[in-house]
Amino acid sequence: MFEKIFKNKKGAEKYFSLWDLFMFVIIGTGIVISVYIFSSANLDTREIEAEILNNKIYDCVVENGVIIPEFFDLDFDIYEKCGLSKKIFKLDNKFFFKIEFYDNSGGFLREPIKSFIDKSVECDIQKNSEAEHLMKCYEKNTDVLFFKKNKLVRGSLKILTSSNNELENKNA
Amino acid sequence: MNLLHNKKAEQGVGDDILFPRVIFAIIAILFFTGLFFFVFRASSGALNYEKVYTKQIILLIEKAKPDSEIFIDFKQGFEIANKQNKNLDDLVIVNNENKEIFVSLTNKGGYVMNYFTDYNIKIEAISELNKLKIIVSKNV
Repeated sequence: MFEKIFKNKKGAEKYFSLWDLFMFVIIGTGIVISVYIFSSANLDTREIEAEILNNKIYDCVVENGVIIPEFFDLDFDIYEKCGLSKKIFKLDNKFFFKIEFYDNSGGFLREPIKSFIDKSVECDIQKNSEAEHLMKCYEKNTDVLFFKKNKLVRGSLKILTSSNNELENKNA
Repeated sequence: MNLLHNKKAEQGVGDDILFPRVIFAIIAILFFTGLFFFVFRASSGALNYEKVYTKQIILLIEKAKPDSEIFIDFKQGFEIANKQNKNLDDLVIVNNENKEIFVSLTNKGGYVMNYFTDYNIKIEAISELNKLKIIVSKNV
């Protein structure tokens, strides 16, 4: 079969030389790989999700640049206040957040609030790594005001969020 | 010219030169046509649209504030689903319990993704307008 396609009776190339076949394979593989990379690479939205989560938390904790008073309550439920699903943060381990609030000297003004599994170490690793499989993180540091003994005082709010939420293929 | 009218051609062996080149050209055309269709299908196929729509809907839901309605263009989704004879009400399925969205434009499965908000989500397909209506409301 191989002889019939590639060589005639004299042993010379018939329709197709091995070089032609090699060239077609290289072109075909190149195009298939490029299309695959193009169609899969642009769909990573984890960083955008981490940013959306970050902004959502900021918007519900800070009003007009001032921290809401209930933020300092010990029983403050961030999930209920910000409309976040406790179940997703607890079970799926796809999202993470950590909120820290401190004064100018770096002392905590409130115990940090974080989701069930602390992923801040992974975020530190991700900062210095280009690895795609690591979760994507987003950090925002903002100066905000808060009431202390009826006076407005400046504090620093640090919100760290991350997402590892990806598409899953599911058969019907 | 020599390819067609050389001495060997007069002796009846000219086919040996021209015929392989015609065959080669046909194989090359078939190969590149196949590649063209592969690229075309990969760029406009259901698979890509399922992925893009799932992510788009998820990001919109996560960014949305409660008591809001969002309309998104779903023209390509309806076109693909019509070709596949898929029920238009089953293209996007919301699971409010597990906080997930399932987008399937064909009968061969689809893509599922979670969202982190705790709002009640309802999605309606408005095929006449080629739009998808996402209703975000607070959990009661």
